[in-house]
Amino acid sequence: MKLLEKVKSLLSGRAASLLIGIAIGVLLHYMFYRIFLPVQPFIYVAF
Amino acid sequence: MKTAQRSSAYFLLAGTVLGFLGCVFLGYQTANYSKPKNFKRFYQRLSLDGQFFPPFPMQEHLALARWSPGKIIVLVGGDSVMHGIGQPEERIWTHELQKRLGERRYVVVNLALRGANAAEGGALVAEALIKQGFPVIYVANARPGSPPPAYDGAYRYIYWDAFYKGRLLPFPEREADVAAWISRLRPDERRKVEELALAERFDSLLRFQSLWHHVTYRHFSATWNSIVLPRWWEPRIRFTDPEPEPPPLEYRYRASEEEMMRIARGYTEGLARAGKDGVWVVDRGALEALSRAIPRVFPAPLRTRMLLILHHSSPHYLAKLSPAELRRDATVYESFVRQWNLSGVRTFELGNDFDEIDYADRVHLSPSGGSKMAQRVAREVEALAATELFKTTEGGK
Repeated sequence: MKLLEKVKSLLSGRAASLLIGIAIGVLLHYMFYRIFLPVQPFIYVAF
Repeated sequence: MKTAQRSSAYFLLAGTVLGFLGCVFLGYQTANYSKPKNFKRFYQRLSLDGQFFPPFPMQEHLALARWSPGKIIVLVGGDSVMHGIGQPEERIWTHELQKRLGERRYVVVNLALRGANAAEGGALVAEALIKQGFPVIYVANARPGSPPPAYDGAYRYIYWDAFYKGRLLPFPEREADVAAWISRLRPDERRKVEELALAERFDSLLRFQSLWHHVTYRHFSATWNSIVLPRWWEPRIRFTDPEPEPPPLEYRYRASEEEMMRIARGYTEGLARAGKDGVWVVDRGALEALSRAIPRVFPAPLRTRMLLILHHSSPHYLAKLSPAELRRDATVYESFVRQWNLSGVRTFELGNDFDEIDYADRVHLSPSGGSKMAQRVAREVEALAATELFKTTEGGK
């Protein structure tokens, strides 16, 4: 019984780590998009 | 315990790599199909005002969305006049152009952008399509003077986007000009351009622009922007084109008369000097600069497939010019139209014979003006399509 619980907690810990990792990866990709968006409003660039 | 922690760390790292690479994969996927639904034009909420930078692959998909073998793509570029400011979406001039040309042999696509020049945006998409062998006629507008290049305007990101994705025609003259231009910039300006080029270089590998613009358009927006307030988080697909009908004529020309006249005069002021007997002589230097610029801004295959409109200000303001200023306008326009044509670009004037009602303001056309423009452009498109260049489109690409 104890072994089963240990395996469960190990697996859920790993799954949580994996999910958090995926979220970080997605965020990193999104950061590339946000970092390179120009800060200066378009209207001042064009006119 | 330590083993479990180490194992969690490995899973975290693996998840990060997986999440990032998954996004790159989705970026490549969306770059293959993502485009706005029922597209008519890049209205304000689908443009730079709304922090929406249509990626180059998206613009290419839009250009090809309704194309089938045997049809010619009539790609409209240029600025807000071509975009159709002053004309609500259902009465936009490119809709009228499509009707006049018919669906059988032509597909009209309006990629014009507010504040863009003739070499930006649509011109680069046309270039990419010509490179792939598609039959394209590119239509844009300008005013007398030399055409600014694609890499030096508000939409310069499109040049770098297309360049690093290998979409453009080989054009050593332009690449030499880009290098020379960068070397002449002030350090802070140069840093900005280099950052932009770096971003587009990264994007050609990681495709973050395609993925997140697709998400912004279809699912949710994660960029706060005053143009889309108060619903800034909503996907752009839910916003409609807000361009209204122009106001009745008596309320139409309400902008500062002095300022508008200054701009109207500025179209030809400085491009000619008064000679004897009131005859205007066009500045030879300006014409030489134009003839030098054209082959360095537009690659040869695009020049032969291009129609350029030199547009006039509204007659409301032209009527207030002195007879001498009107003669100067006529001389300058005639000389510049001739020079563009001599450089291999079919060019014509537009607007000097229009009425006040055909304009929505000093420069933008109302639906009636748009209809007149469509009529003239249709005639020119058909004349160009009848040349040897497009003979092979029947039945093939």
